[in-house]
Amino acid sequence: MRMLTIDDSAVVRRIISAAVEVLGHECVEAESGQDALNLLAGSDKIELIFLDWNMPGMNGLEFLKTIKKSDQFKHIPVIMVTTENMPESVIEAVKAGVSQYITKPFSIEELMKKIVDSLGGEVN
Amino acid sequence: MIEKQTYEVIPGQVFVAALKESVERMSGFVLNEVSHNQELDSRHEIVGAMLLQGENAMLLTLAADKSSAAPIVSFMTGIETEALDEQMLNDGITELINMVGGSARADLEASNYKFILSVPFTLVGQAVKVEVKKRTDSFHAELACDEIKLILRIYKL
Repeated sequence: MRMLTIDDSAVVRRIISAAVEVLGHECVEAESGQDALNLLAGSDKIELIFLDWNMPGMNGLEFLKTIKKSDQFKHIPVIMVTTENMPESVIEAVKAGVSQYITKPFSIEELMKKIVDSLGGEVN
Repeated sequence: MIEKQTYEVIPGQVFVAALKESVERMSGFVLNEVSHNQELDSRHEIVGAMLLQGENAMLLTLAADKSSAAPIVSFMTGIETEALDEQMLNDGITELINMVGGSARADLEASNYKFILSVPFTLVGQAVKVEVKKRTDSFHAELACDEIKLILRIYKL
């Protein structure tokens, strides 16, 4: 499967990509919401998105709302990975359509469990 | 009438706990607090920083040398220390201060201490030092794990 991680931190993108690769999948990276939209439009099928909230330009929530309006992309499950840990933030993200929510800091085990859960327990 | 919450003492231990948790969960290193509020070496190669904006505004900084940042970022990312470039080291320290700010904000929310986090930023150079007016209240702690040394500083603004 092909997945997409969107985060302005190269370190976080690398952590997520490494976890995805360990599970036998491929991960492409974008450092902003706008870059991710461009990548989605020109990329092969993406089956899971990891999304940071606070990014310069289009933030994660704006990106999420944008793709949920798109017939082409609205079905893609999104895992929010963010330092936004206040209950009202989680509710806002869930209302906007995230399927999983991980707050930073996270352990690699937590991240991998969320990935597996998002794929319905399917691991290559 | 709403009573303004004021804090005479910076809640430094909340931030220390958040830093320990962030480093342990992201890299596996268990930091120990070596000292706090003692004179510490104030010149470093990487300083991650963010502003905590609110009634009790603060500047939060995390300082490290490359030799301390490298093993942490290496264990976070799985990239060998020799293969890490400066940008990754700076980004790793800045991401950690971002996590510390987020965790501490949630912990302090329960005590009605509310603040808004700025975008985290990084100061880099050969001997970076953050100078504030001497009358400014501050908290600083040194945390270590073997050769890794991190300095957490909080300045009341």
